[in-house]
Amino acid sequence: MCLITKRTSLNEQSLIQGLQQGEEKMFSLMVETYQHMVFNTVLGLVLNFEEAEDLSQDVFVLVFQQIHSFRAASKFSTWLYTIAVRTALNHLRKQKAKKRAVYIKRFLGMEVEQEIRQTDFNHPGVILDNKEYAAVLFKALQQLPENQRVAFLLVKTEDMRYEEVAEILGVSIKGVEGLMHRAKEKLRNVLNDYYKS
Amino acid sequence: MRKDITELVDKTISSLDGINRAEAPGYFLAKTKAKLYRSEQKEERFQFRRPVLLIAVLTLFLVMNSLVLLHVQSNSRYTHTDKASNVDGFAKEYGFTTSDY
Repeated sequence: MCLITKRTSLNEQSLIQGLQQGEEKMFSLMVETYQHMVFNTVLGLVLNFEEAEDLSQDVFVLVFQQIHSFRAASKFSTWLYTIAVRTALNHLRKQKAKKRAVYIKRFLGMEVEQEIRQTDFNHPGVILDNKEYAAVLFKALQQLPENQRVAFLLVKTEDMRYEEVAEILGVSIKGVEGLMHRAKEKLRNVLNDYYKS
Repeated sequence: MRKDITELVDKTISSLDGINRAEAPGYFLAKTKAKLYRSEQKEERFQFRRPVLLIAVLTLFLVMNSLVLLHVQSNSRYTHTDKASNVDGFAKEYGFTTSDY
Protein backbone atom coordinates (compact mmCIF):
# COMPACT_ATOMS: atom_id res chain seq x y z
CA MET A 1 0.00 0.00 0.00
CA CYS A 2 2.82 2.31 1.02
CA LEU A 3 4.69 1.40 -2.17
CA ILE A 4 1.65 2.25 -4.27
CA THR A 5 1.26 5.62 -2.56
CA LYS A 6 4.95 6.41 -3.09
CA ARG A 7 4.80 5.41 -6.73
CA THR A 8 1.64 7.48 -7.25
CA SER A 9 3.11 10.59 -5.67
CA LEU A 10 6.31 10.18 -7.69
CA ASN A 11 4.25 9.89 -10.88
CA GLU A 12 2.26 12.91 -9.84
CA GLN A 13 5.45 14.90 -9.37
CA SER A 14 6.82 14.00 -12.79
CA LEU A 15 3.42 14.70 -14.30
CA ILE A 16 3.41 18.20 -12.80
CA GLN A 17 6.98 18.85 -13.96
CA GLY A 18 6.11 17.69 -17.46
CA LEU A 19 3.02 19.88 -17.53
CA GLN A 20 5.01 22.87 -16.31
CA GLN A 21 7.40 22.33 -19.20
CA GLY A 22 4.44 22.29 -21.57
CA GLU A 23 4.88 18.68 -22.65
CA GLU A 24 1.93 17.51 -24.74
CA LYS A 25 2.61 13.90 -23.79
CA MET A 26 2.01 14.81 -20.15
CA PHE A 27 -1.19 16.63 -21.08
CA SER A 28 -2.46 13.40 -22.65
CA LEU A 29 -1.39 11.42 -19.59
CA MET A 30 -3.20 13.85 -17.29
CA VAL A 31 -6.43 13.66 -19.32
CA GLU A 32 -6.28 9.88 -19.53
CA THR A 33 -5.67 9.55 -15.80
CA TYR A 34 -8.23 12.00 -14.49
CA GLN A 35 -10.91 12.24 -17.22
CA HIS A 36 -13.52 10.09 -15.44
CA MET A 37 -12.94 11.77 -12.09
CA VAL A 38 -13.40 15.26 -13.56
CA PHE A 39 -16.32 14.25 -15.79
CA ASN A 40 -18.17 12.54 -12.92
CA THR A 41 -17.68 15.54 -10.61
CA VAL A 42 -18.87 18.06 -13.19
CA LEU A 43 -21.77 15.84 -14.28
CA GLY A 44 -23.06 15.54 -10.71
CA LEU A 45 -23.33 19.32 -10.56
CA VAL A 46 -24.58 20.29 -14.02
CA LEU A 47 -26.75 17.18 -14.65
CA ASN A 48 -26.28 17.30 -18.39
CA PHE A 49 -23.95 15.04 -20.40
CA GLU A 50 -23.03 17.43 -23.22
CA GLU A 51 -22.37 20.33 -20.88
CA ALA A 52 -20.38 18.10 -18.53
CA GLU A 53 -18.19 16.92 -21.41
CA ASP A 54 -17.58 20.44 -22.65
CA LEU A 55 -16.83 21.79 -19.17
CA SER A 56 -14.53 18.87 -18.33
CA GLN A 57 -12.50 19.66 -21.44
CA ASP A 58 -12.34 23.28 -20.30
CA VAL A 59 -11.05 22.11 -16.91
CA PHE A 60 -8.09 20.27 -18.48
CA VAL A 61 -7.24 23.16 -20.79
CA LEU A 62 -7.38 25.54 -17.83
CA VAL A 63 -5.21 23.26 -15.69
CA PHE A 64 -2.60 23.07 -18.47
CA GLN A 65 -2.56 26.85 -18.80
CA GLN A 66 -2.54 27.52 -15.05
CA ILE A 67 -0.16 24.75 -13.96
CA HIS A 68 2.47 27.34 -12.96
CA SER A 69 0.16 28.60 -10.23
CA PHE A 70 -0.09 25.12 -8.67
CA ARG A 71 1.57 25.01 -5.28
CA ALA A 72 2.41 21.54 -4.03
CA ALA A 73 0.71 22.35 -0.71
CA SER A 74 -2.16 20.09 -1.74
CA LYS A 75 -2.40 16.98 -3.89
CA PHE A 76 -2.67 17.53 -7.62
CA SER A 77 -5.99 15.67 -7.72
CA THR A 78 -7.38 17.97 -4.99
CA TRP A 79 -6.39 21.01 -7.05
CA LEU A 80 -8.01 19.42 -10.09
CA TYR A 81 -11.21 18.78 -8.13
CA THR A 82 -11.22 22.42 -6.97
CA ILE A 83 -10.97 23.68 -10.55
CA ALA A 84 -13.64 21.22 -11.74
CA VAL A 85 -16.06 22.29 -9.00
CA ARG A 86 -15.43 26.00 -9.64
CA THR A 87 -15.89 25.58 -13.39
CA ALA A 88 -19.18 23.74 -12.91
CA LEU A 89 -20.48 26.25 -10.36
CA ASN A 90 -19.53 29.21 -12.57
CA HIS A 91 -21.40 27.58 -15.43
CA LEU A 92 -24.49 27.11 -13.24
CA ARG A 93 -24.35 30.75 -12.11
CA LYS A 94 -24.15 31.93 -15.72
CA GLN A 95 -27.11 29.71 -16.56
CA LYS A 96 -29.09 31.15 -13.68
CA ALA A 97 -28.35 34.67 -14.91
CA LYS A 98 -29.42 33.66 -18.43
CA LYS A 99 -32.67 32.21 -17.07
CA ARG A 100 -33.34 35.46 -15.25
CA ALA A 101 -32.77 37.40 -18.47
CA VAL A 102 -35.15 35.08 -20.35
CA TYR A 103 -37.77 35.57 -17.64
CA ILE A 104 -37.44 39.36 -17.92
CA LYS A 105 -37.61 39.19 -21.73
CA ARG A 106 -40.76 37.07 -21.53
CA PHE A 107 -42.23 39.49 -19.01
CA LEU A 108 -41.55 42.35 -21.43
CA GLY A 109 -43.17 40.35 -24.24
CA MET A 110 -39.96 39.91 -26.20
CA GLU A 111 -39.29 36.79 -28.28
CA VAL A 112 -36.92 34.29 -26.70
CA GLU A 113 -35.31 31.11 -28.01
CA GLN A 114 -36.78 27.96 -26.55
CA GLU A 115 -34.33 26.26 -24.25
CA ILE A 116 -34.26 22.48 -24.27
CA ARG A 117 -33.35 21.22 -20.80
CA GLN A 118 -33.22 17.79 -19.40
CA THR A 119 -35.67 17.62 -16.51
CA ASP A 120 -34.97 14.12 -15.19
CA PHE A 121 -31.36 13.25 -14.80
CA ASN A 122 -30.27 9.63 -14.61
CA HIS A 123 -26.74 9.07 -13.42
CA PRO A 124 -25.29 6.13 -15.35
CA GLY A 125 -23.37 4.86 -12.33
CA VAL A 126 -26.42 4.31 -10.09
CA ILE A 127 -27.40 0.68 -9.59
CA LEU A 128 -30.58 -0.30 -11.39
CA ASP A 129 -32.79 -0.72 -8.28
CA ASN A 130 -31.99 2.84 -7.16
CA LYS A 131 -32.42 4.62 -10.50
CA GLU A 132 -35.84 6.13 -9.70
CA TYR A 133 -34.88 7.23 -6.20
CA ALA A 134 -31.60 8.71 -7.44
CA ALA A 135 -33.44 10.76 -10.08
CA VAL A 136 -35.62 12.24 -7.30
CA LEU A 137 -32.55 12.85 -5.15
CA PHE A 138 -30.69 14.73 -7.91
CA LYS A 139 -33.75 16.92 -8.36
CA ALA A 140 -33.96 17.58 -4.60
CA LEU A 141 -30.24 18.40 -4.48
CA GLN A 142 -30.91 21.44 -6.67
CA GLN A 143 -32.63 23.06 -3.71
CA LEU A 144 -29.56 22.93 -1.49
CA PRO A 145 -27.10 25.81 -1.15
CA GLU A 146 -23.96 25.39 -3.32
CA ASN A 147 -21.56 24.37 -0.53
CA GLN A 148 -23.91 21.75 0.89
CA ARG A 149 -24.60 20.32 -2.57
CA VAL A 150 -20.91 20.12 -3.46
CA ALA A 151 -20.00 18.49 -0.13
CA PHE A 152 -22.82 15.95 -0.43
CA LEU A 153 -21.98 15.07 -4.05
CA LEU A 154 -18.24 14.73 -3.47
CA VAL A 155 -18.79 12.44 -0.50
CA LYS A 156 -21.47 10.34 -2.19
CA THR A 157 -20.45 10.18 -5.85
CA GLU A 158 -16.67 10.43 -5.49
CA ASP A 159 -16.47 8.55 -2.21
CA MET A 160 -14.30 11.34 -0.89
CA ARG A 161 -13.01 11.74 2.67
CA TYR A 162 -14.08 14.79 4.67
CA GLU A 163 -10.46 16.05 4.83
CA GLU A 164 -10.24 16.31 1.06
CA VAL A 165 -13.69 17.90 0.78
CA ALA A 166 -12.53 20.43 3.38
CA GLU A 167 -9.48 21.28 1.26
CA ILE A 168 -11.55 21.69 -1.90
CA LEU A 169 -14.14 23.90 -0.23
CA GLY A 170 -11.60 25.77 1.86
CA VAL A 171 -13.32 24.95 5.16
CA SER A 172 -12.40 22.89 8.23
CA ILE A 173 -13.30 19.23 8.65
CA LYS A 174 -15.86 20.30 11.27
CA GLY A 175 -17.22 22.64 8.64
CA VAL A 176 -17.71 19.74 6.22
CA GLU A 177 -19.43 17.73 8.95
CA GLY A 178 -21.78 20.66 9.47
CA LEU A 179 -22.41 20.99 5.73
CA MET A 180 -23.22 17.29 5.43
CA HIS A 181 -25.54 17.39 8.43
CA ARG A 182 -27.43 20.41 7.12
CA ALA A 183 -27.56 18.94 3.61
CA LYS A 184 -29.17 15.73 4.87
CA GLU A 185 -31.59 17.66 7.04
CA LYS A 186 -32.65 19.92 4.18
CA LEU A 187 -32.95 16.93 1.83
CA ARG A 188 -35.23 15.20 4.34
CA ASN A 189 -37.53 18.23 4.40
CA VAL A 190 -37.56 18.59 0.62
CA LEU A 191 -38.18 14.86 0.06
CA ASN A 192 -40.88 14.73 2.75
CA ASP A 193 -42.77 17.48 0.93
CA TYR A 194 -42.17 15.76 -2.40
CA TYR A 195 -43.57 12.39 -1.31
CA LYS A 196 -46.48 13.96 0.58
CA SER A 197 -47.70 15.84 -2.47
CA MET B 1 -48.47 6.45 5.84
CA ARG B 2 -45.96 8.45 7.89
CA LYS B 3 -43.73 5.37 8.09
CA ASP B 4 -43.97 4.85 4.34
CA ILE B 5 -42.81 8.39 3.62
CA THR B 6 -39.91 8.10 6.06
CA GLU B 7 -38.91 4.87 4.38
CA LEU B 8 -39.08 6.47 0.93
CA VAL B 9 -37.01 9.43 2.11
CA ASP B 10 -34.38 7.11 3.59
CA LYS B 11 -34.24 5.04 0.42
CA THR B 12 -33.89 8.18 -1.69
CA ILE B 13 -31.11 9.67 0.41
CA SER B 14 -29.17 6.41 0.34
CA SER B 15 -29.82 5.81 -3.37
CA LEU B 16 -26.31 6.97 -4.25
CA ASP B 17 -24.70 4.30 -2.07
CA GLY B 18 -22.56 2.00 -4.18
CA ILE B 19 -22.64 4.39 -7.13
CA ASN B 20 -20.00 3.98 -9.85
CA ARG B 21 -18.24 6.85 -11.54
CA ALA B 22 -19.82 8.08 -14.74
CA GLU B 23 -17.23 7.62 -17.46
CA ALA B 24 -16.18 10.37 -19.83
CA PRO B 25 -17.54 9.80 -23.36
CA GLY B 26 -15.47 8.32 -26.18
CA TYR B 27 -12.74 10.33 -27.90
CA PHE B 28 -12.58 12.59 -24.86
CA LEU B 29 -8.79 12.91 -25.09
CA ALA B 30 -8.83 13.74 -28.81
CA LYS B 31 -11.56 16.36 -28.31
CA THR B 32 -9.73 17.90 -25.35
CA LYS B 33 -6.49 18.07 -27.33
CA ALA B 34 -8.34 19.79 -30.17
CA LYS B 35 -9.76 22.30 -27.69
CA LEU B 36 -6.31 22.97 -26.25
CA TYR B 37 -4.93 23.49 -29.75
CA ARG B 38 -7.73 25.93 -30.59
CA SER B 39 -7.21 27.90 -27.39
CA GLU B 40 -3.43 28.10 -28.04
CA GLN B 41 -4.06 29.40 -31.56
CA LYS B 42 -6.50 31.94 -30.21
CA GLU B 43 -3.95 33.04 -27.63
CA GLU B 44 -1.31 33.51 -30.33
CA ARG B 45 -3.73 35.56 -32.40
CA PHE B 46 -4.43 37.84 -29.47
CA GLN B 47 -0.85 38.14 -28.27
CA PHE B 48 -1.07 41.92 -28.53
CA ARG B 49 -3.54 41.87 -25.68
CA ARG B 50 -0.72 41.11 -23.29
CA PRO B 51 -0.12 44.14 -21.05
CA VAL B 52 3.57 44.53 -21.93
CA LEU B 53 2.88 44.50 -25.65
CA LEU B 54 -0.11 46.74 -25.22
CA ILE B 55 1.96 49.31 -23.31
CA ALA B 56 4.75 49.12 -25.92
CA VAL B 57 2.30 49.70 -28.78
CA LEU B 58 0.67 52.60 -26.93
CA THR B 59 4.05 54.19 -26.18
CA LEU B 60 5.10 53.89 -29.83
CA PHE B 61 1.81 55.43 -30.88
CA LEU B 62 2.28 58.35 -28.48
CA VAL B 63 5.91 58.93 -29.55
CA MET B 64 4.96 58.93 -33.24
CA ASN B 65 2.10 61.31 -32.58
CA SER B 66 4.35 63.69 -30.66
CA LEU B 67 6.95 63.62 -33.45
CA VAL B 68 4.35 64.38 -36.11
CA LEU B 69 2.93 67.17 -33.99
CA LEU B 70 6.37 68.72 -33.46
CA HIS B 71 7.14 68.45 -37.17
CA VAL B 72 3.88 70.13 -38.17
CA GLN B 73 4.37 72.89 -35.64
CA SER B 74 7.90 73.64 -36.82
CA ASN B 75 6.71 73.82 -40.44
CA SER B 76 3.77 76.07 -39.71
CA ARG B 77 5.76 78.58 -37.73
CA TYR B 78 5.38 81.55 -40.13
CA THR B 79 7.19 84.58 -39.11
CA HIS B 80 5.65 87.95 -39.68
CA THR B 81 8.17 88.81 -42.39
CA ASP B 82 7.48 85.49 -44.17
CA LYS B 83 3.80 86.33 -44.31
CA ALA B 84 4.49 89.89 -45.53
CA SER B 85 6.83 88.76 -48.27
CA ASN B 86 4.27 86.17 -49.39
CA VAL B 87 1.59 88.83 -49.68
CA ASP B 88 3.91 91.18 -51.55
CA GLY B 89 4.93 88.45 -53.94
CA PHE B 90 1.28 87.60 -54.62
CA ALA B 91 0.39 91.27 -55.18
CA LYS B 92 3.32 91.76 -57.54
CA GLU B 93 2.45 88.66 -59.55
CA TYR B 94 -1.07 89.88 -60.28
CA GLY B 95 -0.10 93.53 -60.56
CA PHE B 96 -1.93 94.68 -57.46
CA THR B 97 -0.20 97.48 -55.74
CA THR B 98 -1.51 99.90 -53.21
CA SER B 99 -0.93 102.75 -55.67
CA ASP B 100 -3.62 101.34 -57.96
CA TYR B 101 -6.32 102.52 -55.62
